[in-house]
Amino acid sequence: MTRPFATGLPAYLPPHRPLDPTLPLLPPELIYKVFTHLDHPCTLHHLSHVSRQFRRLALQRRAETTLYLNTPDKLVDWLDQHWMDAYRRRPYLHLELAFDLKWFRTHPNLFHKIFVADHSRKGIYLENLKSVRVITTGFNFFMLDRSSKDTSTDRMAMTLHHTLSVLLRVLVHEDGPEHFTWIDANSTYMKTYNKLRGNSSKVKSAKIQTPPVLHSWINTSTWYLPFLMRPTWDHPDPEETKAPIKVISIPAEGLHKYLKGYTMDYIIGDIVNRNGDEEAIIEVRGKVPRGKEGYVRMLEGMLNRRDRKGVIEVVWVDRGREMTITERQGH
Amino acid sequence: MSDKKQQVILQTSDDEQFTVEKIVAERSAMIKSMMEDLGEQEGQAIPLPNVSSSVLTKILEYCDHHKNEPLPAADSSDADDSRRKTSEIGEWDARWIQVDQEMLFEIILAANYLDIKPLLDVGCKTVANMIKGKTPEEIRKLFNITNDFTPEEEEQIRKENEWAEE
Repeated sequence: MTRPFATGLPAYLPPHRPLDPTLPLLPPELIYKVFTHLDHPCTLHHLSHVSRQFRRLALQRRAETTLYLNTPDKLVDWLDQHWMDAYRRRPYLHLELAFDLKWFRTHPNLFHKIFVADHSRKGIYLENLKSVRVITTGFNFFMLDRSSKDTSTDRMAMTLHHTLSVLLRVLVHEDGPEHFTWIDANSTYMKTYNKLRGNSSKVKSAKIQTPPVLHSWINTSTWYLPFLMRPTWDHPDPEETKAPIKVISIPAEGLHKYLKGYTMDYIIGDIVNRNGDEEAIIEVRGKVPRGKEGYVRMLEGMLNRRDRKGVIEVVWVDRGREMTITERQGH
Repeated sequence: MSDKKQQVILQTSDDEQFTVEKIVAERSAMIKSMMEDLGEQEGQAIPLPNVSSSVLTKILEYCDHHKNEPLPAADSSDADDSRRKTSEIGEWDARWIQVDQEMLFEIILAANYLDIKPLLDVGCKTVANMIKGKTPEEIRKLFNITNDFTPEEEEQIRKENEWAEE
């Protein structure tokens, strides 16, 4: 072959092309480029299981696009707008928020500043988020000083769902992210909590409700919710344009809480309104508690009545695995 | 400028020569830069030692289809736009890139080498769409990757990510 420009050629590097068939077909920089189009947290999680190299690249991608407010210090810094410049440089795709109400209750000045003072006009929320992942700890409701007769809001802790609502309103655009995951780690504190409040040790959850801010999240199509003592859902409005719902995941332990009132009825009505012909999944995790089996039939009946097109499928899972009917009925 | 001057000769790794319109060849920032560096030398072929004729044929089809579109800015960096990408591919591009997996990876490698950013994006998006919903084992097969985790490491990763399995 004649190389007409053999002399004085700029130093163009040849591409990486492994000759060894056991090596990956694409070099790391191009695999990473593929990852930039895969920003669903679960997909990145799967990728991190593939190999050491994939794990490194997936973690790199995740770190580059995620805002971690997973310690009180980071959260306070962010709310103080120290991170504004960083935010302007880096439009994050994911928010990971760990919120410990108990910790904030031991810092009353901070608590007042963040949850009582008005932050709603700060305008530092994140837009176009693909996912928000929240882990809540601490107690739902706890008087700072139970002997005090002062019940002003800064003396008395507000509920977890209220503080979470304030936080999410400040941090996230009012239309919400595409995916929302809320893991409530309160159960680990319940033993102490029950003792402190004089509750029975069988009480499993503080009375957590749905944070009201979630009702405005019209962009959110995937919902992973914890056990909620009082779950709520916005009244379906056929006139409102909302993203179709793909998955709503709730624990079987709290299924009856959705069916006792109007919540599940609203959820189904909302899906019917916003999905058209697009399919949706109501995922129920774990097993329905003994004595609550009737609520499963109630759910089926409600679907038969409300979901005439049959777009909603109920999937029962146990730790990510689909359950058999026998398992579902077992205790 | 004569019609002849609007033509560029490209020579592939298997010694095939392609005479193409300059506007088509310039979709490749690398070829464009080479032409600017070396000046126009009539009849001289530009060697592309890392691109085979079958891959170049396919890529020229893409470049020809997009020849009248504005070129991406030379200073547009990946760091700026990589955080907000979608996996959507244009209709024509999606049809055009329906090739076997080996060819797809060859196109991506060549697009990277030739520095054709929009084509690289189409290729990477296509692979990304192939990955979605696949298990780690299926992804290993796709990329020809060996699982190099020790059982202890796998257990550790599983523990670290238990929340994601919920």
